[in-house]
Amino acid sequence: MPPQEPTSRRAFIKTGALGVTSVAIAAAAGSAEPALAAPRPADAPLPITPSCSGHETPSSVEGPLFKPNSPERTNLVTPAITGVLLALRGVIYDRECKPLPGVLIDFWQCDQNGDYDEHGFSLRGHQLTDSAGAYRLDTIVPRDYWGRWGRRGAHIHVQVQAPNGPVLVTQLYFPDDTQAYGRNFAAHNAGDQFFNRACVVTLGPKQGNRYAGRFDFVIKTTA
Amino acid sequence: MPLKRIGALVTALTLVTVATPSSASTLGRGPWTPTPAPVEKGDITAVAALDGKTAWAVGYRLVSDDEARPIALRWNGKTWAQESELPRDSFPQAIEVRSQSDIWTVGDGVQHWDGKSWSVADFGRDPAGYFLPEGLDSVPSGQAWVVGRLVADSVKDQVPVVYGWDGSAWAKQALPDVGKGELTSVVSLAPNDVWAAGFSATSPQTSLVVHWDGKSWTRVASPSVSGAHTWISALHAGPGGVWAVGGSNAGAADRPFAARWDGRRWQAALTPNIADGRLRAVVSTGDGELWAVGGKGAVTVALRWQKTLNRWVRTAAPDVVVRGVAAVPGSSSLWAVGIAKKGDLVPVITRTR
Repeated sequence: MPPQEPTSRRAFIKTGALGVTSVAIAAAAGSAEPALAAPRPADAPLPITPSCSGHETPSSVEGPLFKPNSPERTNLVTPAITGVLLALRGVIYDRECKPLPGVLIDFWQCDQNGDYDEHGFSLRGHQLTDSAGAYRLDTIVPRDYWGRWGRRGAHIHVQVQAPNGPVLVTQLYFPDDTQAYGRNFAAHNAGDQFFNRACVVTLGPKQGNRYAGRFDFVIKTTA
Repeated sequence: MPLKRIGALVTALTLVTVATPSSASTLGRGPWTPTPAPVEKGDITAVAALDGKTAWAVGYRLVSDDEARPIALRWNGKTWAQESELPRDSFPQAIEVRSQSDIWTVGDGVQHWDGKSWSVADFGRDPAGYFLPEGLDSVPSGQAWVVGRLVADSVKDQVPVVYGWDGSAWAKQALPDVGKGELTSVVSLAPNDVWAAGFSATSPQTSLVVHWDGKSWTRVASPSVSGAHTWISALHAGPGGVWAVGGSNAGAADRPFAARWDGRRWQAALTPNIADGRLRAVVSTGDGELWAVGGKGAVTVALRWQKTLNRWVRTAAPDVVVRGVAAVPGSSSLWAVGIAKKGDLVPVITRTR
């Protein structure tokens, strides 16, 4: 097992009914079509937009399964990927709550069976935020796993970097009442050594086989 | 550490049109027939057969949400039953059956079955990182090879590694400088003729092939898909030479990749363009047929080599998320193991009639 680092608790992003911004709504509406003709989970209602507190999103360990050179794409749902669809949307802010365009955001996660793609790049992709500082990720809710890489609750790994800025390495988690794969998310969250409630995505109601999710990041732009 | 920015390169590639796997349904189940797996929940990750009445499969059984037990199953010609439990946390990924009392598995570590019990091979600690084996093979004289990677902190910095078994001890092999990457598969044709393959973690990722001539390991030029990440997942010495199969990714869905050593050089072989049809195994049956099987998640792909057409052609695939495939020596049968496409970690074992 790789070395494990302590989770930072320097910051906490408020989630709630307040602070819905026009910028965030415009970003959530999205624009570009994904490259693949795969199912798109984009039409579920979006959850309430978190506010920007100005506090930096907490970091977490990178873990052992990051691969550089992931494809640039916003849709990770290729024909092989089944599972509970997730349309994750959000805005990346600086600590003055100014949306940041051109921010590199790189996602990697396991699939519906708890498998990471180590040979290739399935469920791996990077993108740049648009002119409103927004990103959009069409993916699936990952499964918790147990295997050679240890035992983890469901999570999505992220690296975020403003141009010439420091890299924020963190992980996103799922609410305790998430319904996917018949798994007990509350139990797996409670048992996950890196779980951080400050990094839980906000989910809308599950509609069919899909969730809409929301997570805004606050990052440093200079070291 | 700053992230690499390769956006411009890959943006163009995401526009490549990909095929959907719709043709798979028209092929039907074909010759594949499931046999009951004696595991309600878990994963069957590898299979190997001695003959039509003797085969082994390994994986793990989830006995509760808190406990996974690595297991070995045995086929007696009629049914599968659990024969043994492997050492704790071994998570087997590949198996090599030499006889009923001489079986190797690799996963988290290397394990050996002597017919009565499992033992764990001692590889010591390597300063280059934690040893994660991926593939193994042996020759009748007793020599065996295990390939994989040494992982210091992350797969992003992993380096390929080969260990050789001389009948009494494992020894780390001196490899040429092939940089970061992984060896996923090995095939030994003779004590002085061994191939290992995987991928080199360049940008983009390329195929990696090394060869042992009895004296030293050297890198041998191998094809990759231009402008795409390429990897080799399996090797096999079969009709027409040594075969390597894997996948490539140019930004959207994967597609199959295959290459062949014809005695002089490695050359890419034609494969059908199947979205997410990465190949995981290549085997040949007793009747001389060459199969490549793979896929991921909802997509399962089986190909047969058509010598007259000089290309791989799609055929009926098993209805399983394929983890491992094995040919039954002296017959035309194949085993395929993995998990069901529906449900949560439901093991499946299937075979061709």
